[in-house]
Amino acid sequence: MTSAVKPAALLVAALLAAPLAARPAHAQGNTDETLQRAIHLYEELQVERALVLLRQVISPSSPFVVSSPQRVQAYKYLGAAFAILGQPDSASVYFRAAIERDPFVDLDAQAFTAIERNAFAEARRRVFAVAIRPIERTRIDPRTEHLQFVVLSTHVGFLQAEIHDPTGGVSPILASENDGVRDVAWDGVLADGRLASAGRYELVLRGESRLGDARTDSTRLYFDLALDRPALEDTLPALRGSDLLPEHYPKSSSAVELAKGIGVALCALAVPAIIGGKSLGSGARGMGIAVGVVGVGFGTAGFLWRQRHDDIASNIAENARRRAERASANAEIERRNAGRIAQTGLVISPAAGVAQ
Amino acid sequence: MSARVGRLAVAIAVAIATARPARLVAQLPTTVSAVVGLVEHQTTLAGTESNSGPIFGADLLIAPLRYTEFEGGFTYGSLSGSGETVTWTDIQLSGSALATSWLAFRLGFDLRGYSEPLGQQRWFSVAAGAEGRVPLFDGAAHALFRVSLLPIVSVSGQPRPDFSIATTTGVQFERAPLAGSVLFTFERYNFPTTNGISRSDQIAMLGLALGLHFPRR
Repeated sequence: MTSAVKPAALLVAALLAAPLAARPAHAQGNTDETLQRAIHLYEELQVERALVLLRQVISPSSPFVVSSPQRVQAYKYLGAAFAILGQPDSASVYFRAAIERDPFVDLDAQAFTAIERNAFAEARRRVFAVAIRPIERTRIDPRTEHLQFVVLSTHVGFLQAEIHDPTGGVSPILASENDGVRDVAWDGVLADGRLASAGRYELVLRGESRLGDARTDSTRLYFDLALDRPALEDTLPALRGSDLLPEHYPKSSSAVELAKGIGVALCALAVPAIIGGKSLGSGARGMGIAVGVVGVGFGTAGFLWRQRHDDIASNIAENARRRAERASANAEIERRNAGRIAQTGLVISPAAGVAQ
Repeated sequence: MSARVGRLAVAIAVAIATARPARLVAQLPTTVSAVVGLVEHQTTLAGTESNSGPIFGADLLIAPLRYTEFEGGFTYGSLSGSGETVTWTDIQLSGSALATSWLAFRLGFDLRGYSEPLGQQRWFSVAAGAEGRVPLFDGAAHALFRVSLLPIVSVSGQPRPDFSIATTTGVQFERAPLAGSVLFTFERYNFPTTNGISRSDQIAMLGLALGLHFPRR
């Protein structure tokens, strides 16, 4: 029962919601239609009629949704209309409103007269704003290419642009007088000389007017930067104790050296006694004693020597070889990684952020 | 007789000092040594006879391959004691194969002569044995233990011995270019009883060798 009711309820809800959902698009469409009619009238030199429609667009009582670009467009044509009608102050007000909302707004020399453009230029002198044009997703090879940011100051001023990296580092990329639109290039290298790593970056643009009133403005653009390169290899870890041979003899090895010498002495003394005939003379025994003394002497010397020389030379050499081999392997990995890093491409894409 | 031995010793020493073994054996690891020793030969035949005296000689050791060694030695001297002075002449040749750094197997030939005014007795033997070399001073010296059985022994005028054995104990050292050793060799021969007489011989030798090693390591 429940399953039979649900599709019907959903259908009714959809039918009721359809007009509501269509309303913003319809309203925005009406705004656009009104704006296009106003521009058409303006171009037909029916300025008064155009003014009526443009005022409808920007009116707070307008029932239609007005997007920011539409509002900028309306302000621009209002300013132009008042300039044509010989009301430069009103023209300036509307032009400034357009510029404040979109510093990149401009008057096309093919479509607007000198009077309008002069009024617009005057408005730009009265407003000081800086702006950065939004970027599109792009990939650059930092060895041969640059990322181009388009920045603007509404009139002559001193601009400073900085890249703020995720670690808090700041890399200046522009400090220059400017008037209007210009490109600012960045090769992906930070102030410390390293290629930028992946993360969220911020381009901060600050400007100070040079028209004498010391007005300032700033804005920022957030963008994500990703590295496009083959995966890097991990270097091998340092050799652990278990990977290396002991480099020193244990303390007991001194006693072993002594035992070897004593072993010689015991053998030299024991052999005549064991093998020799009982009835045969004692000369052999004397020789055995002599060699035994020599053996003990060597053993004692070995005992003392080992206490001062406990290095195992062969193991030290082998460990050095292993360390060198590991270092060589790591150097080779680092070399290969360096080659991959050199091929790194930077992928830049716009990121959400608050423009100020 | 002792003057003769002394002249021989001087001659051997001069020969070794002036030798150019590196040229003779090219670049083979070679050790040339002078040998000074003391020998005591005891025999139980009609009572116990004992002769002893100094001997002098030379020794040449070549290691043509990493695990092989060939050695030749010659000693000469006069032994005196129980009776007439006996002239000792001994020539040894041997080869060793190293199974490990501390164990070698050895096969040797020994031709020895005892000369006295009444006649000469020749000994010939073949020795087969094992040799342990225990390193001292990180290999700069070795404690040496050698045991050999002598399966073939021929003594002029004597039947073949029932039992014969030779042992050597001592130390060897090498501090390039010097090489040397202090070795105590002990041999025992038991001959079969003939006509109710049993003969046993034992030869003890204390040898001191000092030489040069080429090429210098």
